[in-house]
Amino acid sequence: MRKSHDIEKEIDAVLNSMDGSGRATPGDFFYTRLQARMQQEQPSAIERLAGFIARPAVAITGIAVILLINAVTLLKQWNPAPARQEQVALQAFADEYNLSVVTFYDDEKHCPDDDAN
Amino acid sequence: MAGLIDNLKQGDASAFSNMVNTCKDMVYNTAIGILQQAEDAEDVTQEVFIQAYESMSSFKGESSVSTWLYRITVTKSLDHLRRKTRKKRWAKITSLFGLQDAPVPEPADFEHPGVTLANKERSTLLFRAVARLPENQKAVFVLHKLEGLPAKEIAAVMDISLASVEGLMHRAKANLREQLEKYYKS
Repeated sequence: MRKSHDIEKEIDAVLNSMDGSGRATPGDFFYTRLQARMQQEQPSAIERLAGFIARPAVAITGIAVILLINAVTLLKQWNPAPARQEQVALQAFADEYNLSVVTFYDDEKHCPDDDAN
Repeated sequence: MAGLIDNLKQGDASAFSNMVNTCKDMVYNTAIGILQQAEDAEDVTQEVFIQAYESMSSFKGESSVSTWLYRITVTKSLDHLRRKTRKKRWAKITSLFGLQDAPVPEPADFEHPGVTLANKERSTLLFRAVARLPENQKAVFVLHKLEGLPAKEIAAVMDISLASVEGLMHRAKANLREQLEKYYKS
């Protein structure tokens, strides 16, 4: 019983052994060492650029822009431009009813026949 | 304090030097309590001030500078511990396959430099037990015992509720007591 009581007492003493202790301090000239490390760790222009690109906001925006350009290119390839479709339809209509525009050369070509008639 | 923060935001070197000289002991003492190695604690202390310098512009002043520095210290110290644990695990695996000849040596028992001579042996025992605590319990115990922070400030540092801090502290003490009981009974 007494032994158990002693153990409890000793455990309490261990748990309280840091009470009243001082702070641990870093070695002398800490600020000088810190400055040296800060100068050593200054990133180069390439590292700064890589760091900028690696930012989540920049990286995600970049990927989104690339995907958007890809999607637009694919859509353009699959669906021919409506203006071209319209032009093809008009051409077919003109051919069907022989509505082609008569050019100066056509006039020249047809003139002798017209005179003969 | 607001003036100091403004000066720091403008990149005033003397304001930064003032902050380092004022706060280096509290940062180092917290780091050494968690890491239990002087070299690692010095490394982490430097990293804390480098990060503080780099992220000063994003400091909104919602908490005090000391709370902000404590938060960076706890995060960096726990990250450092995780990296070390990963390295140790990797060394064990590689030694199993014969890729590494010498096993990584276990660090010697830690003696806190600030402890009184009469309590040296007991505090060594205490730190051996603290090293086995889960991360959050360790951080709360160190902030409370070594830095003497009240529960409210610990909650602000750890970004958790007051009840959580009290719970963590209670569990930390219970775990330490259990470990010490085993030690004294064996």
